Amino acid sequence: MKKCIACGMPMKSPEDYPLGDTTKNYCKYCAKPDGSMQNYEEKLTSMTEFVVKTQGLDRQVAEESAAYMLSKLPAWKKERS
Amino acid sequence: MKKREQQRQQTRATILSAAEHIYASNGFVQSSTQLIAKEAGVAHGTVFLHFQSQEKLILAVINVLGTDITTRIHESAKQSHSLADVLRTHLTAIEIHESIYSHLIMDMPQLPKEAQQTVIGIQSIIAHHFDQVLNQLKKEKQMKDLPISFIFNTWIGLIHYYLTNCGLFAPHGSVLAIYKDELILNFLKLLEVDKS
Repeated sequence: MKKCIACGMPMKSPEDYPLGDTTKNYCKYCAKPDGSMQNYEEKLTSMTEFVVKTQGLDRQVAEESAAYMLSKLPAWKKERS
Repeated sequence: MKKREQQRQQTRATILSAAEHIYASNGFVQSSTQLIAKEAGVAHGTVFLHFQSQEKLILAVINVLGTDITTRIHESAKQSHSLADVLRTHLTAIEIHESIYSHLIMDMPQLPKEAQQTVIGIQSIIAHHFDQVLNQLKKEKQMKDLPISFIFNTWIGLIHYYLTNCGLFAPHGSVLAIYKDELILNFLKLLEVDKS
């Protein structure tokens, strides 16, 4: 089972992939509407918003945590500090 | 794989397993790397050959714990995806690691920032599954219209209250073994729309 290179989510079935395209290495949550992968800034923003929405954290804390989570994923090697 | 690399990986796994055991018994803050080395049967310096610092060892242990809990929830989502299933899988996964999980949440304020960020990452994956089932229930108007952060934090807060006060609820064993069914049942009742 592949894991999304951009957020780490396991991709079990075609519906987990962008536009059902199982050749992609990223999941539907990390894709733009046209199926291409979000860039780092877009992913950082969407993950920060998700953490704020679901855990109610302070936005700056959420953004620092999102940046830390992304730094551990293969898609964002260049952004690693 | 070369024999030397196999041995290196085996030693790393042994240290990690010993650290899990020690942290589960004594907590993250109180446990020394000397004790972990002794438990693993390796020289003290060997711990640092594999993990560089105590902080990195703690992070590695939290990552193993988080991966196991979130993998169980992902796997369960494959078969069914009701809120009761997500709650049960979550509690069952924590129950398997109850001692180390309890120490983790109690020691959290004293752990490095990266440890807290790793835990936020673990909670994000659990929250993703909450979000999916809650959205569906809200659409079907089967659940009260409350913000997901409130529902998620209420659930986490409830579990953590029981775990951090385990001496009051289950002084001789597992809190979740005793209270798991009751917590799930009553949490679901809190969210249900009153149909009368």
